[in-house]
Amino acid sequence: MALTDGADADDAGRGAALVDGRTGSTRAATPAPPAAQGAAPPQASEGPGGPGRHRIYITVFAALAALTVMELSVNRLVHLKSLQVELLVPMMLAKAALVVLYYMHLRYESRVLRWAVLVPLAMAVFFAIVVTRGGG
Amino acid sequence: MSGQAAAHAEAEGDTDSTWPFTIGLGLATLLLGLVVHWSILIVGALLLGYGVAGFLRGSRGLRGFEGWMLKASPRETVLAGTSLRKVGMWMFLFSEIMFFTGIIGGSLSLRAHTASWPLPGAVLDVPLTALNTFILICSSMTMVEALRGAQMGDERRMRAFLLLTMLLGIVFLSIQAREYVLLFFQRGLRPASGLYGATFYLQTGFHGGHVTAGVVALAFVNLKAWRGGYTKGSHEGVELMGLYWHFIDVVWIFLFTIVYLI
Repeated sequence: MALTDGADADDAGRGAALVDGRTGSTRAATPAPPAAQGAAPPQASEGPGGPGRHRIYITVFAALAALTVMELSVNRLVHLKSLQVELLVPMMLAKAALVVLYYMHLRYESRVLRWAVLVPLAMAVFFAIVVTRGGG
Repeated sequence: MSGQAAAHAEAEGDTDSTWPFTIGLGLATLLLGLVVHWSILIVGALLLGYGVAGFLRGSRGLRGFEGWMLKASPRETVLAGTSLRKVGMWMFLFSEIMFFTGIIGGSLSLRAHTASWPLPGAVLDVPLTALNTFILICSSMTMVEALRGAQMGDERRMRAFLLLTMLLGIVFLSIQAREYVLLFFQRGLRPASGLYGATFYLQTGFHGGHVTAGVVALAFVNLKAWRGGYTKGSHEGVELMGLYWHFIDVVWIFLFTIVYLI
């Protein structure tokens, strides 16, 4: 999935500032053996409470507020229903993704947990589409 | 593929069992078959039967599974390094995702098959709810700052932000209660007054119920924080509270767009 792949590349690139709890070898893009990942508990690092994280939280907050204002203006200015839906749904998904990735820290969780969250989420969306289309 | 892994697990003794996974997959396929096609239903039933049979025969039944769960150290599981309490919270949130997917999907389905559906702005107070959305986003921000305070070992900061989060939650609920009173008594929008009213109260009501539960949980977390229950080394409760609180925020992000804007 594009989201997680991007996060991986970013993790590897930004390095110590964000995830200095894990050692360099386990942070590589290749899946690390479970024992090696377990060796460095994320809680022990300075990363989660660091100033870099603080800046990210503020940025995410600003993005969420800006997207909400944009949603409201689309609602006011665009009167064509189909165009409204096409504009609002991506904004809604972007907001949800921001909260899940940064506020719920999914971006910093282990690869397995990220997949364990994303797969049922995709299933939920699939079920919703099936339910909405069904009976027509 | 699960058969191979299970055979491997049996050979290894009691280190691992994939039968519960097979059972879950079978159940999911079965449910999918219920809504899509009967042939998928049969596949799901077979998979479920296979999983249950393997579970009872191979891994010494429920007691064996229980023993495995109790014995397994976090390092041996696939989620190595992730706390089991956090995994538990995510599991709970999955069930919540399914719950809200059902409610929102069902409401959308009803809407799609109803000839006339009022525009949200015609009935609801959109600007007031936009303000409420902003308040909920602010409370997510304060929640994450509370966690950061705990991680930094700054307990005063953590306590202040936890209190602020709870207060913002209460403000959100107050505004929603006011909106409900207005809609119910002045504009005559009631759950019984048609599909629009029914789906509106169903969706926002269940979300409001979750916010209420979150505020109550936050009260407990605040109390524990005031008594010095969270330290730099031990503050997982704050993190798990945050997961739930942000999830409620995500649900509202969906509801605000779907119910109030589209």
